[in-house]
Amino acid sequence: MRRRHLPHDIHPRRDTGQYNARLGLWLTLASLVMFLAALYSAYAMLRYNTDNWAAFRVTLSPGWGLVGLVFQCAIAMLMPWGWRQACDGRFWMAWSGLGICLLLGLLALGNFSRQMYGLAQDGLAPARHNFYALFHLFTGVQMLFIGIGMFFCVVYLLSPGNKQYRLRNRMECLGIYLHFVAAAGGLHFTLFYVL
Amino acid sequence: MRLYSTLFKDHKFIAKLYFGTALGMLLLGFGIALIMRWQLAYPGSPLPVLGHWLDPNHAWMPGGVLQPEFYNQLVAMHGSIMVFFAVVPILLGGFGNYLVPLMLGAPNLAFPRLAFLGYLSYLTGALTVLTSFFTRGGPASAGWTSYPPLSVLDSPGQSFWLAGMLLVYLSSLAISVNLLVSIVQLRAPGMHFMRLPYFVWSQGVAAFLLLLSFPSLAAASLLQWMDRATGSSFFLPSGLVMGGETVEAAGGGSALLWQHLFWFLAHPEVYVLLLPALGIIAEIIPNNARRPLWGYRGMVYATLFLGLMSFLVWAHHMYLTNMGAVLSRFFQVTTTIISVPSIVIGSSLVVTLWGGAIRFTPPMLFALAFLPLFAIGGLTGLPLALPSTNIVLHDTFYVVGHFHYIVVGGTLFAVFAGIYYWFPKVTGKRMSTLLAHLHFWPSLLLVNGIFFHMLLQGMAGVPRRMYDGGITYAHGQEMAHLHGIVTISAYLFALAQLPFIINLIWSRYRGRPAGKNPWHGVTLEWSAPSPPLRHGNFRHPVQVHRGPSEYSVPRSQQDFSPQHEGDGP
Repeated sequence: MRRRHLPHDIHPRRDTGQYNARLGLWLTLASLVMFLAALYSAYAMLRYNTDNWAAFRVTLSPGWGLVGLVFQCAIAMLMPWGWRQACDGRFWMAWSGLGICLLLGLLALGNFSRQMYGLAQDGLAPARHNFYALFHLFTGVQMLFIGIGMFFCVVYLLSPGNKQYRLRNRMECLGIYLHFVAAAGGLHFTLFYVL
Repeated sequence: MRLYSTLFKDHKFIAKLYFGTALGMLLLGFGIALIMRWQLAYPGSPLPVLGHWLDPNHAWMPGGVLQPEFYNQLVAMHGSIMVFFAVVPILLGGFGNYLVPLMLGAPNLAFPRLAFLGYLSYLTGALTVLTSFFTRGGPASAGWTSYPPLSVLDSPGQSFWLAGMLLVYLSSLAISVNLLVSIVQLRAPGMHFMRLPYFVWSQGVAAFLLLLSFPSLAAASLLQWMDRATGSSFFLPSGLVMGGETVEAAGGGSALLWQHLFWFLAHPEVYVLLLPALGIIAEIIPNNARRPLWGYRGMVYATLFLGLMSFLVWAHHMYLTNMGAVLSRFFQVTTTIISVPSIVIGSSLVVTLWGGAIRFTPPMLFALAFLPLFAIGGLTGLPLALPSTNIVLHDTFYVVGHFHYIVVGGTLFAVFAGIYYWFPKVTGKRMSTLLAHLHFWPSLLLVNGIFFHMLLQGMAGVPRRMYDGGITYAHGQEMAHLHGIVTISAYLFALAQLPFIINLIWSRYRGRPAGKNPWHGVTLEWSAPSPPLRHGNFRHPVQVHRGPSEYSVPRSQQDFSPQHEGDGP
């Protein structure tokens, strides 16, 4: 029994309403949510145990953090548009959406690098205080999340067998993932620039 | 390219890779335990055989005598290797990856390439941790729990351990996503959830636990790596003094934070070790008792409840941390509650035997031995659920005995049972019954020789973390002779595994042909050829008509009714 595709690799299963990759992605995101929850609980416990937490601040303008967040939200919002284009058969438009996402992602990574570098320049390294250690850690994790998204953008852009159903499913999954990344970015900004 | 498309995308091949690697790690972990046991029984004596080969100036074992630092490192490596690189990979990566698609009637796992990447991640993680043996200062020495502040200030080997944990997280993520998506999406027509074999349920719940609990250790590992690499103080409190000197760190961290994050993984991990083992036993017992699994639905609901509750009991490992009466009471109650579904599952397995036409085949012998061994392991856990008794027993050999009754007497016996049961399906050959008996009977005797005495020592208060076995304590001296019995039993247990290894290799090449369904089983894997087809597993599309353990159905012509066979015209 040779099959070209596994069952429900492309089209949703009738009783679950999911195709395999989308369900797999949701499960992966559940795991990543737990990963972030562990980091946030570490943040809460360390902050609760520190008397003078409020005395520590990121010395950068909140504007830079906000710019980074806007980039991430823009990426997330571009993906549903690209998915719509793929559904309608306008593949070049969808691919151009992926290209713009890649560009914005690189800008977001550059912005985060600038924040970390700026803090290190001011002598606010992780060894100075747990506040700065957490800032560096959360920023690094956020950059990793964006980097993973950008990696898949590149793979999908270069993928030779980008047929309609593939591109449609891929853009939908990447869009879900990048929405998660943008939400994590919002929390990251709130923790370090607002609270 | 052809190799890639045929082998590395085949769930059966990937499962065999897991099996091979994990069995190797199992032997390594066991070898480490034997070295430790010698030191505990005969402190300061050179190891037999190996001791003669080692240089008198050898750093870790001069003249074959184990040094205290190396003993600590071996303790850490034994636990880490066994839990993360041996038992869980065998159960989920080996049994799960191989059998779940077959039992679902699926041609493959949902993401075969991801499964292979998961294996590579697991292998890299294992090699990373083992590489630490060759680093300056040797491997991690802070125990498999890696408690800070000791671990933060440990040798570079600890960083290798942390990297290994992050890689194992990626591997377990790949395994769990793959298994869960396969279970939900790739069920054959007619295979609704209440027709899934209990083995599949157990694998699904274990995968779910792994999916949601391992991120906690991954995050904790990242935090500890930050402490070690960048000088942060997530786990280092202010004013920490080690060896009479104040540790230079910003401070403000909490060592307890690690314990919470670690045990949030490590307690569900116990159920990841246990549930697939129960799944194996729940396939073997009905098959060999020729009776349906008693209380199938109850077992499924108990398993789901057990999985849920396992997230709410982690702090019973931390009663000694002065967490306060309210929290202790909460975790005492949840830990006591979690024993209820375990008893439901165990009782169902026992009741299944009632009135059955029992066949004492090798897998059934191991399955039957599993029941009392698992019961001893489970019941000796109850005193540890209560803070008042836990405080007395926590740092003694009682905990080691209790845990090993679960993992060796329970899980390892289930692994052996599973290997004897599905070996004909995997290879198309039968295993030798004589060698299986030579393996089973000594193993059953010796596993009790090892761990029952640990329970006795623990109840007498012998501490479990002493390099010399606790003989410097008065109460330890009274029970010290039991170390000798334990150690001799452990060495004989090692010898008792030789028939199994010989059987595994000999039967693979010289075993009698097994046929498609040698045990007259009913689940879908027995409808596939032995071994299953490389592409797609089954010769024909599979349709499911009935439940997963329909043995001795009234008015049926034979005493088993396979899931894929309908009632006929």
